[in-house]
Formats: sequence, structure tokens, C-alpha cells
Amino acid sequence: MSPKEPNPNPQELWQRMVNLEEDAYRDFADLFGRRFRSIFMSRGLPMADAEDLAATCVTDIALKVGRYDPRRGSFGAWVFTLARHALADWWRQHRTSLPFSDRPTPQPPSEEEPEESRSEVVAAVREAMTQIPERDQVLLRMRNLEAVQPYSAIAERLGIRPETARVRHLRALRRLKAILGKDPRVRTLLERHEHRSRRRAS
Amino acid sequence: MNQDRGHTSDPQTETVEVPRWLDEALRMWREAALFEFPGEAPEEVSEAFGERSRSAAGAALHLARLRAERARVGFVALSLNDYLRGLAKVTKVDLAPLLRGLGIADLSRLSAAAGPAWARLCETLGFSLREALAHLRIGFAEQTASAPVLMLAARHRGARGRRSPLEECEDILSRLPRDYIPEEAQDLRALEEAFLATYRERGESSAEGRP
Repeated sequence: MSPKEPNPNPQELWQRMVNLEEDAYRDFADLFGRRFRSIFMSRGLPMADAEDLAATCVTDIALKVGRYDPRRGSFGAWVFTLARHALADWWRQHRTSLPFSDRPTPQPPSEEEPEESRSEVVAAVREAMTQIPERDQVLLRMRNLEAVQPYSAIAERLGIRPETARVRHLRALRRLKAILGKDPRVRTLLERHEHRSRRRAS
Repeated sequence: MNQDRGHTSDPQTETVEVPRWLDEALRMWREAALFEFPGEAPEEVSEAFGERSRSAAGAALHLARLRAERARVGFVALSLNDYLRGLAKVTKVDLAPLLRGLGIADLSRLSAAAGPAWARLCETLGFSLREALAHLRIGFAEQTASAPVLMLAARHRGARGRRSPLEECEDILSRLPRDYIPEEAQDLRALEEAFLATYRERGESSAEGRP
């Protein structure tokens, strides 16, 4: 059984940490430790490395809370930015030492990606989600937002066959792609990928 | 096969191909949701990892308490070991397990091998490089000096008027003979180099504009 997910207000949590309250540090670990682990694994780190880096981030970022400025964005976004920096540092140190694998190539965070562009893409996805049928939204949330679940688990939760879940998910992705493909906020991301594609082809 | 394809891979062998840009957009959406809307919970973690996270946060809390106390106390002409022991007593922090977690096995001995770990600790606790080097040198000087550096600094103070405790200490240290045995001299040099390198490295990363 894993530790219970705490539900503190992040801004209050920050204030309690600045005041060196013991409970606040525990809440920070319970709230963000698993999130660090989750994003590091989704970026291709092996579980053991993801857990090592997540634990390091818990200490290092907790020690920096005094530097957070609430006027410059939410506490969660600030924590996430530092976690991304830690991940980029990890990639720099381990780039040449990862073993060969038949899994998809891990994607290091893109350092050149400006924060504004990231926020715009996120806003575009959120908006696009509201434009697709509720049934598709549920599938995308289960498969892409919550923990990446196998179709069999999604199918069981929805009371459908795994193949049906897979096909519906694919359709939902197509709908989302059609909407996002026309959204100017996603253009920079699209162009970056097209550029990379062309570079690989040449 | 189109190169611009990513994978939404499934442990149960099904693979849905999606364009990489869409894969990345969905990943950004998920990460933003996880960090900016704490209602979105990631997958469950093991009890062991949960405990490890809490222990990491506990270490941060202890370090933060030591750092706050160090800022309050300021520089005192003590060896690094004595200064840290004093801070730990005042803050009621159990130093030994904290230091072990940072890679420092023995508080009573500043080994050259643990130099980078000592330097990281000093930097984390907010010692300036000058202060950290002074504490380090005091430990070595007191092995050969006729009296504790703190006492020598107090004695010297009367003669030279008021200066900062750090300046007084640096002055005393520069006057003391450095007649160490070769192993000690070598250890001190290695430690000083480790401190310089670590502070430079950390200074550079903050100069890159990292928050």
C-alpha cells in the first residue's frame, strides 16, 4: 500500500515549508515524490534511476523553497520547472551510458522549449479536449492523463472489450490531432518536429 | 514507415502510433496537470519509495534548520566539525545519519576523499567559500597551533581594532606557521581544491539563471 496522496493547497504548503514545519516537508514528499518519479519514468528513465532522481529532487527542491516567488507563477509549476532542470542534468550525465533497449527511444526534455510555448500547448490541448465527445475525453484521460493504463484495465473500468477500448482511443487521438493541427498555439511544436524529421531524413 | 511517429506503448503488446508532436503535446498536458492541479494523481508508488521520499524530505528539513541557524549565528572561528556539532546541538538535529546520507561517514575526520561531499554540505548550509575555507583551515591549524584560533583571534582583536570575525580569523590563519606533516598538508590541499571546484561548479549553475 503506498502512502496516501495528500491534498494540501500548494501555496499554503510552500508557506509552511518556509516556516520549517515538519508536516509540510512530509506533505511535500508525498505530493511531489511520486510526481517526479512518474514524469521521469514517462521520459524514459529506468525505474531505479527515476526513483533515485526523484528522491534527490525531493531534497534539493525542498531546500530551495525560499527562492520561490509567488508573483511568478504557481508553486507546482515552479517545482515542475526545477524537476525538468534536474532531468536535463541527468540526461547530460547519462547520455552515453544507457543500455540498448527495444523500447521506444527515451525523450530527453527539450531545453530549448520556452516556458510560454509549453503553456500555450497545454492550453490548446485543454481546449481541444472540450471539443471532443465526452466518451473520447474519458478514454484520453484514462490512457494519457492518469497513469498510462493498459487497454485491458481501461476496458474493465468501462465495461467494454480491450480491442474496443484501443480502437476508440485511436479515434479519440485522431479527433484531437485534427483539432490541434489547426491550432496556431501548437505551430511551434509542429514546426520543431517537422524540422527534426527533415534533419533525420537528410 | 513515417519517421515522425511516436509510440503510445502498452505493456500488453498493443501499440498505437501517434505523431511525435501529438505525443509530446499530450505529455506536456499530463505533466502540467500533475504539477499544477494536485487533484490529478499519478500512479501508485510502493511503500518503500514513499518512505524514501519522506526520508529525503526529512533530510531537507534538517539541512534547512541547520542553514537557518547558521545564518543566525554567522561566522565563528571554529573548526568545521566543531561548528557543525554546535549547530546540530542547538537545532536538535541528529547529525550522523544526515551526514551519512550525504556521503560523509566520519564527522571527526575531514578526509580528502569526502572533500566534494563536505563542500556540497557547506554550500547547502549557506557558508560562503571564504567562510568554508576558514573553517577548514582552522581544523588543520589547531592541530599544530599553540592555542585555539578562536582565542588567538580574541587576543589579536584588542591590538588591531574592530574587523569582521572572518577577517580577523583569516589574518590569524595567515600568521600561523603551516608546519604540517606531509600527509596533512596533502589532505588540506586536496580539500581546498575540492571546495574551490564545488563552489565554482555550483556558482556556474546558478549563473545559468536556474531558479
